[in-house]
Amino acid sequence: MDMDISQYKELFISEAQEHLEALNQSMVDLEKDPGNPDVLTEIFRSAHTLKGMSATMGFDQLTELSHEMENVLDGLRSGDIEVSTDIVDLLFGCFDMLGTMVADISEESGKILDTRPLIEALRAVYAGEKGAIAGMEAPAGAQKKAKPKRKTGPATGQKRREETSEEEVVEAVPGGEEEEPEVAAEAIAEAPLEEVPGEKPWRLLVTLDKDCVLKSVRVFMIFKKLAQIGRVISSRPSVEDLEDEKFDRSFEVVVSTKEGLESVRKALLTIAEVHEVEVVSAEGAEMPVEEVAAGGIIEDEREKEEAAGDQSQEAAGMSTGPVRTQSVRVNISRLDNLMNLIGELVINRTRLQEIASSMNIGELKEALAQTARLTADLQDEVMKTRMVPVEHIFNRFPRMVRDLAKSREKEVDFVIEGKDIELDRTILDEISDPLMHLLRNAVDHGIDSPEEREARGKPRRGSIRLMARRDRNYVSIEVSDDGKGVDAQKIFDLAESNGLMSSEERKALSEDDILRFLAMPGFSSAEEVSGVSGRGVGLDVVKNKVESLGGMLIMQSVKGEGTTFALKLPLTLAIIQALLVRVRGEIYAIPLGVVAETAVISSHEVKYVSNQEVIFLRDETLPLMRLGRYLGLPDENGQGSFPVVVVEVALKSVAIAVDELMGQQEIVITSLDRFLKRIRGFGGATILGTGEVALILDIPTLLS
Amino acid sequence: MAEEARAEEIQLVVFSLGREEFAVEVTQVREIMRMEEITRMPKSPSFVEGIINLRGQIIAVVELAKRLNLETGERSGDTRIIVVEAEDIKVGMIVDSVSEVLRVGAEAVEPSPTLATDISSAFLLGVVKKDNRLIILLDLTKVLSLEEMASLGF
Repeated sequence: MDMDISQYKELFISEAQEHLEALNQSMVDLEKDPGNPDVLTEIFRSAHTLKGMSATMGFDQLTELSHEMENVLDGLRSGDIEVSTDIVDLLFGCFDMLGTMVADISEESGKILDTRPLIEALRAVYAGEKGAIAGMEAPAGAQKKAKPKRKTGPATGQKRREETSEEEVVEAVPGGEEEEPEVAAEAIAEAPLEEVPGEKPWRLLVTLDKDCVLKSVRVFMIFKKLAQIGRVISSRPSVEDLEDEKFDRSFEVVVSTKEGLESVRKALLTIAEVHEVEVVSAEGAEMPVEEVAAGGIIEDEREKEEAAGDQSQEAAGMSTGPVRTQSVRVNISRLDNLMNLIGELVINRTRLQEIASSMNIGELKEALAQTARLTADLQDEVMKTRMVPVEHIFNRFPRMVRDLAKSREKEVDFVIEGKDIELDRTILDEISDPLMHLLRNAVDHGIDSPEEREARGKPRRGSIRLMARRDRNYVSIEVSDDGKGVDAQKIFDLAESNGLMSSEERKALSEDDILRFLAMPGFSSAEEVSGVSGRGVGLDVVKNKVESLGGMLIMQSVKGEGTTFALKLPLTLAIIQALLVRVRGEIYAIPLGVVAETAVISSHEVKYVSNQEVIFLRDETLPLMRLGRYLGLPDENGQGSFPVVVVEVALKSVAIAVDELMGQQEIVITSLDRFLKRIRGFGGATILGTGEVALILDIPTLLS
Repeated sequence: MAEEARAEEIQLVVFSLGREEFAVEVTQVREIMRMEEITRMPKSPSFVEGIINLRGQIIAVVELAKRLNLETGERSGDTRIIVVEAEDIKVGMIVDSVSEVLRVGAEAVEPSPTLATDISSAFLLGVVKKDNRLIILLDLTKVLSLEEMASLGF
């Protein structure tokens, strides 16, 4: 029965971060639509939960700041305080401070931050509102609603906090107040209160608030409290399950105590977010379980107006047996391991299939076909568990765009589309920074100032769009703005004057090629000198990151009309479709994502353009790259025809000459270690069905 | 007393390259395997023989003799790959044969004198003299060092 509150820290941190993200998101929405009561309720609820969680965990600074914030939010909700840019900024400031505190808790830095200025500002807003109300006739409803808060007055922060934490129980459950006496009376009627003193076992049904967070922490506190007044004999579900939050809202506990029922109840009810404590029976006394269950359901329905049918079903399931939890938090490394194991399974399956076909055993083949189907399903499922909606990272952008636009004195509408598109967790984590970078660029250099826009006959407010889209085996994420666009000719001028290309080469370029220059390391600084704009700052970093993930960065820009960056990303990293090719007996894999087409070319079709071998494929002239030569293998003196794989990366196409196309196959990527990574040109290796190792060609490096 | 003596004992995996005997500390050895199919790693320094699949993990295999500027011996039934790990890098080293695991007192390791060997002294931790044998103790972190490789244009 030993529980330590520190083990909930991790859970607290991740939930606190989620709430802060939600707060940031809602606040941006609120600024756009200041009167929206739903958004306000949402904000209030998140802030309130955050406060409750912090108080439970004993993070006083967090609790204090979120409490002061809550006062102002309450004012906003009741309409006593009007939403203004200053208040929004102040609240954003508070969110940031809370975020820093949570981060400090996570790092265990033990820093004490100075929250005074924020708290004083919040109090000033709150007090100002009070003054304003005193000055005019306040709406009766608002006055009444704010009453419990008023009563506390300008007491010390400590005192006010204590008082509100008692309110919490009532506040969190709508209608809880009226219900309480009724249920209590019921409980008293059922329970033999006048029993003899001395230890007596009680079977209690403890119900937590319906939006109670960190349930396990509540359980911990309840058990601690019970241990003070008696002995805990047993519980249902077991303590382990309770700790793991494997219950819905209620659990039963048998406690042996000298205390009277009412004091036990009272003791437990002082714990925040404990909704109700009922006596099921004095141990040994008869009390059909069904009745308790039924009571639970009725209560559930009574208070949950918005409760959907499946929820009450869930409640019914709860009382008859152990509760099924809907979701489980799993460490990402567990999923990585699972993925690796499946990878090995896929390899072995392929191997078995090869053995089966070489031995030609019909029954084995059949069984293996079944296994193949199963492993494919398994793989799919595991892949899905790793998928996370892009909103996980998108949600923090509105706030960032808003702040940046404000500081740059630009007016920007920020639109997000396709939030629910899912991507592998690892990829998602990796593209957060690149996206932030592109958005910053869009605000900073893309969007023109309101004056410039008006002069050009565009609406004053610029618009930036962040859009995710599923595209067969790819997810495409686009950042587009309707700003200045990039002057391709100026970029080309610059590239030419810097000696990056000749005027000959320039003729062959189209506007789509600007990215090649913008993404060159160091190219941007040249730009800044010439005063064009810092558009290219760090674009090389973005491009490299996207390409290292097996994706592509594409840019389109029209001068005066805007710029679009598109990130084309694979859904998942670990398993990809690849084309296997053979050169001089060696096998290599080319990720299918970059393959545009394959063709067979006769030797006499190979022409030379400025000493470079090229081939003509339909109307296109493609540079020919002989893979064998690139890999340091001797040239084959073969005549006749050979296959080529046309690959395309960032609008650049090259035909790669190989000896044989071995076909398309699903491969499991095994990354190369530090030692091997120093060798450029390979994106990893894969183990083939035969047990052989094949290297995966990193096409972007190959082309650069 | 006896315990102290034991605490200062080290165990060495002794192997041969050509006519010379070498050793690495057993704590750095992960396994010893027979030669197997090695996939060539293009664009790598000449001493990198290629890569192998070590139970799902891809590791590099180096021709140790080349790395140490010695003459490369013929492959035979005795040829082994010693998988070592240093600074989180796992690498297989091809050696002519593995002879034994030797237990010596730490004091038996002498700082390397200027030896009559072609090996750069940078790779040496010291030498162990035992019954007329001279065993060269390799400094694996140097042998596998990325900085060293960078200087070789790796």
